[in-house]
Amino acid sequence: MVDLQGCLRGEKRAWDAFVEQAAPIIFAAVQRTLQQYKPTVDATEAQDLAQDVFVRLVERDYRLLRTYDPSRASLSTWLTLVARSTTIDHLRRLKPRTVPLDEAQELAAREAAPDDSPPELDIPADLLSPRQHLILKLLFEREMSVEEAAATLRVDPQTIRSTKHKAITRLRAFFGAR
Amino acid sequence: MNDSDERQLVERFARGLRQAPASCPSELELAAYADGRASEAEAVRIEAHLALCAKCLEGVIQARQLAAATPAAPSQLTSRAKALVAGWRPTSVRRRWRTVASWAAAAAAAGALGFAGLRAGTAASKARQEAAASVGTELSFEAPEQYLALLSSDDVLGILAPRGQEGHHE
Repeated sequence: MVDLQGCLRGEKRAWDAFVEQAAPIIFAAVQRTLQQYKPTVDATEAQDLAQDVFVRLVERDYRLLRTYDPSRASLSTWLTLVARSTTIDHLRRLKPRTVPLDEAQELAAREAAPDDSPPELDIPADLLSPRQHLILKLLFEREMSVEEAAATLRVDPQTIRSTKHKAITRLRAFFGAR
Repeated sequence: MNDSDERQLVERFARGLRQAPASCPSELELAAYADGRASEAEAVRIEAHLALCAKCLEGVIQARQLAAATPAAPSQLTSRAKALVAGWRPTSVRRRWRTVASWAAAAAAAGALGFAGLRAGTAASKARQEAAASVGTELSFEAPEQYLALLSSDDVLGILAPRGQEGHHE
């Protein structure tokens, strides 16, 4: 059990306990994120970046660590995302194009470049619900299994199947008429 | 599993999208969602974002996967990170003082000692090591293991701690 208040008071024992819990998560998140964007990952680079995350947490009187709110999310999940952001920022400083553009930028890039495929209709923003859209993305773009998608979204596999079915039905109705 | 007819529909849908994602949620908001602790309204808002933002979606996926099983960290990282916070033991510090005296003097001359201590060994600081080494030290920065071994000693960290302590300053 991590004694956050003890950490924030600068207590060594609390900090050491925090590090024991946090180091595996931070290191794993840094390493995975590096592997996503770099063909080869140097073992030292992952460790140094993980250390960077710890420095971010303590510097300026634990400024970043103070933003964590235990009532909103678990510490390990929050640390995973903080570690990822730190890694992505580092990669972007090294090589601005390393991390893929987000969807908005991709969209702009696509529209700017000529495309041979037939012009597509504008999709009404509410054709699919956010969850329907997300599930289709996980299943078709990420090629996840129903079980993997269920684990990611913390729902029943049956929910995934029925949501997918509804979404496909809506798409069929929309495109079928055009 | 996903038949090609369904795939075609999904691709036509994706090509026709004209939405840009809203600005990314904070790490805390995404963490709350990934932990299944977001409210219904927040979850809808975040899912709408995740459907359009690969970076945030990957973050949530990774968080969920790591929650399932986390491999151990290298012990060197654990030592280095622990060393960021001082365990102050006045008597033993005096014994070590002479060993690090010249390094400390060099670093103090170079500027914020505490900051240098914190930053050493991080990805952001490797270039600074060369500058410090050129000042002339008893410890060689070309042998980081030597430095790291010292760092993990609580006694020495009394000297390197960023908090205001006698003889040290930011």
